[in-house]
Amino acid sequence: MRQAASALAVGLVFATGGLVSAAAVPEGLEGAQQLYRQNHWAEARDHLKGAGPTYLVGRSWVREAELYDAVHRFTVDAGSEYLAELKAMPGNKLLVWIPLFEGFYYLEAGRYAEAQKALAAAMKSPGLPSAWRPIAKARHAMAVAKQSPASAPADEKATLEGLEVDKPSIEAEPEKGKTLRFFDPAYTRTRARLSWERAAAELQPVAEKGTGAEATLAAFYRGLSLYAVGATEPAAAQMKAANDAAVLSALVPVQKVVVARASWTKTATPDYAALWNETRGHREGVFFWADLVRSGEAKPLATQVGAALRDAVQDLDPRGNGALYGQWGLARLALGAEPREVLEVLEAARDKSNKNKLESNDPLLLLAICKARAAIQDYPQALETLFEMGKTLPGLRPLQWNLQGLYAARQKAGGEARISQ
Amino acid sequence: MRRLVSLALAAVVAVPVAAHSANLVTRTDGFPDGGKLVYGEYGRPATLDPVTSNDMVGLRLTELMFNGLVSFSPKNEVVSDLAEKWEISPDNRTYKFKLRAGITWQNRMGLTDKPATADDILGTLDVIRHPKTLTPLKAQYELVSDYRKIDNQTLEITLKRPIVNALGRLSFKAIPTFVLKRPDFLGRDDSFVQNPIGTGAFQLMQTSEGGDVVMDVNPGYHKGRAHLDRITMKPFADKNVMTQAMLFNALDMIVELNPRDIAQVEGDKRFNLYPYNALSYVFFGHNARNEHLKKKEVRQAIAYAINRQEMLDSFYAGRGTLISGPFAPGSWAYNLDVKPLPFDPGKAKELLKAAGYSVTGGDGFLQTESGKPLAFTLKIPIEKENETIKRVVLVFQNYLKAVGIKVDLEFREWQAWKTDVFVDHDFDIVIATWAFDDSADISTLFHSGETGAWRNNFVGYSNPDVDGLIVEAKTTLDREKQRTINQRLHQVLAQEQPYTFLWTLTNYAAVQKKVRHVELHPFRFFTFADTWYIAKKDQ
Repeated sequence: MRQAASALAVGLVFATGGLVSAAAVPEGLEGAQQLYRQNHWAEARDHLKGAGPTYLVGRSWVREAELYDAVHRFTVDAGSEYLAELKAMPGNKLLVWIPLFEGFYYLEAGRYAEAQKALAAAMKSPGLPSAWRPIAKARHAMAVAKQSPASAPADEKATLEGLEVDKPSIEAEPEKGKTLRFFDPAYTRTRARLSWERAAAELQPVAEKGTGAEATLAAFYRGLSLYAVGATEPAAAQMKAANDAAVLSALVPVQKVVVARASWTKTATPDYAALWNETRGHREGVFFWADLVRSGEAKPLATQVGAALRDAVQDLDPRGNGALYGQWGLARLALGAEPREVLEVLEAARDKSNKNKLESNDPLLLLAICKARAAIQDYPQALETLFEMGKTLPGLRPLQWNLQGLYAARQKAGGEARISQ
Repeated sequence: MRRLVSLALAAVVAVPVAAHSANLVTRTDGFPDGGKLVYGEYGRPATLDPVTSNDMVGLRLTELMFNGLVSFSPKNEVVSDLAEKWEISPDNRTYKFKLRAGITWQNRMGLTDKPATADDILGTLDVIRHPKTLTPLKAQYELVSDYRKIDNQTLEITLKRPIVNALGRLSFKAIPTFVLKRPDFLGRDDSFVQNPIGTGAFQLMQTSEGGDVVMDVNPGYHKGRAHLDRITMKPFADKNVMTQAMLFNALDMIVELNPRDIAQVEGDKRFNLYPYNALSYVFFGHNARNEHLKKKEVRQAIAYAINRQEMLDSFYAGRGTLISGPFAPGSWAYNLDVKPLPFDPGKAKELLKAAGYSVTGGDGFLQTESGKPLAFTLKIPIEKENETIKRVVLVFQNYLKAVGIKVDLEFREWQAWKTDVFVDHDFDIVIATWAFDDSADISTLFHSGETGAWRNNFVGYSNPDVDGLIVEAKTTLDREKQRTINQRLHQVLAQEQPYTFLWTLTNYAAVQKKVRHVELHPFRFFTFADTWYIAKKDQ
């Protein structure tokens, strides 16, 4: 370190852009809050290790879960496209891993009939190693079950245990000098789900024993976390416990929909319109509805939600609201908006001087920008951002690999390199 | 330098723009014509033609003045340009192009409505491939086996074998070879390199002694008259000064903003920022002809000796990211498993010791047992005005001093630097930036066959394994195999350290908001500049 200091002591001292180094982080809650604001969620939790249950720890898991949900969806989109490119390349046609992983990705994308077909093709292939047959069978059963809700869904959770998201599930060498990596999207989904589960667990004591605004918000986010893992009835019960509307403010519409959502399974035709009219007033509510439309649950509202979503950030200050802009961008892209139009709005919310830095730009905003850039085939910008994000956030490698593969398949340039000063 | 000034003085062209008499295409986008755009570049190009030019400043200029058979759309599709259509043979080796009717060379230097024909396209290929033409493009066209004219509007190019991105490779810019001093090759003594004629949306009007390049709209452009009347490029020797010039309205645009100035320009409501040139990186290149630098341990020691993150944070306000190998992180070829070498001066000293540098001379620097000092000259392609780069190299000098390596600094004007580096190979270490299109083709940088004059492997790096991988990557048609090979190349070159790979900077173009419908090509920049416009009230 002395050498570094002496090298820089040439008399040229500059500010380093205002980022706070680890050494400068204050002790305790104050330091954790600082790290949380800089989107260093895991570090914020580490900073509070042993301090007992806190709202901040639970909330950090919620932020992480929201991000990994979005990462998962982006990974699935990119992976499905990448596998289609891979399948179209001569020489790969007989590779059993392609239909198998196509099946996995289609399943995650909710394209159940295609998943069923691809997985059936993979299982027919004598080239599928025996270790993978039970997994393919379980996923195939799941694809079938999802198309006919009467049958019980298969459980393939056990197969995921102990596997790391950033490691490929398969590294195949179909010919000398060619390595293909396949990442199972179930792992990215599990990564998000684990964060939701941790959020629910961490927030529980604060929601139950805490007081005031913190308890209300803990109850709300615990409800949201339970909802995200599919526990709709406990989610509704927890949401009801968040009974201070003044504290929840813009989150009230989300609360109402989550509570109502618990009854939908018992109702033949939910009264979407009435609930929509009641909750459309806040952008957070609109985002929530957009997610329901995306998942196919509230399809009849697609037009109204799409229209409300378009203008949902018009009056929102682009600075300091990166997470909301990110949610907005991801929701718009998921509902098929023109990516260039979305990108223009998102870029206005980006701190360009710290373009890819998590400390200055919300990870959801950066991810939404990456998704819009990838949609217009501006892969270098998307990959550059993911590269920087990946230094802090694990679990992005499947997305990076799939996007690199898409870019490799679609690049068309002639091979120029130019020098500059 | 003397040569450049005399050429610049001689290159005042100032021929009035005459409208072409026929085949005028009218744009239907409804945007107004008129207005001038002045933009700033860091440095000036050596040549203005698309064949001999090898730097980014020149690439951007030639994009305004010339066209190829095909081009790219904003969606990155290959689209027609000089060629109206093309056919590809079933074996993917022969490409038959039909030229658009009515394309003419710019009405300058005595030419009037002179049509661009198949002879010109094939003549350009002849020139590129001629041994006496010094061009970095040569390697790209070694895969062409044959080409022939079918008629004035039709030509055929045959490749030795099918290749990936064949159309992209055939997007070379055409020149009117009939105006060259010697029509079969292009030398830097040919006035064409300073005073070129193209088919592009803008045509050269004047180059000033200060290096300004003035281009006026080509009224007979085959895609329709561009909206802007004039584009002027102004070169600067200092990026800080360039930013100040833009903030004082002397410039409408900077193609690559100084990373340190991004926050200031971002906060100024007069400008829009557009991300640009993500596929570039800064490096220290080590001359493998040097007896010390040919040793891998010495090159590795240099990488371990410098704290790159500290340099990036201190001199560029952290606006960029460290890299570990020969690709930028935005590339599909970047190997994410390879991490940048850490700052470890102790390791650097160990490596130097292992390489035979264990004796310290009277001056405190290492030397071989026979007394040869471990000393290098670092050639920097700038005038001394550039404070940022000066600080980077001073700190580099200091870091290496700390492990016993002596470095002398030599600042050279850009053209002189290029001659020293690309022609005479007269350097030990250099600092510069490479920018790439999205094919991730690094073959010209590291293949041992690319070490001649004006070729890109100026460091003289030679490694049979790397050569083998490069050839394999270039010849395979399997893009996934190409990815695997490139990622392997990344791994090998990260170990070999023919360069100390430094960082990719945050690159933005800054453009006055009065310039509208701005769309940038991520590498070539001006590909869509014919559609940019300035509203009447802002002209």
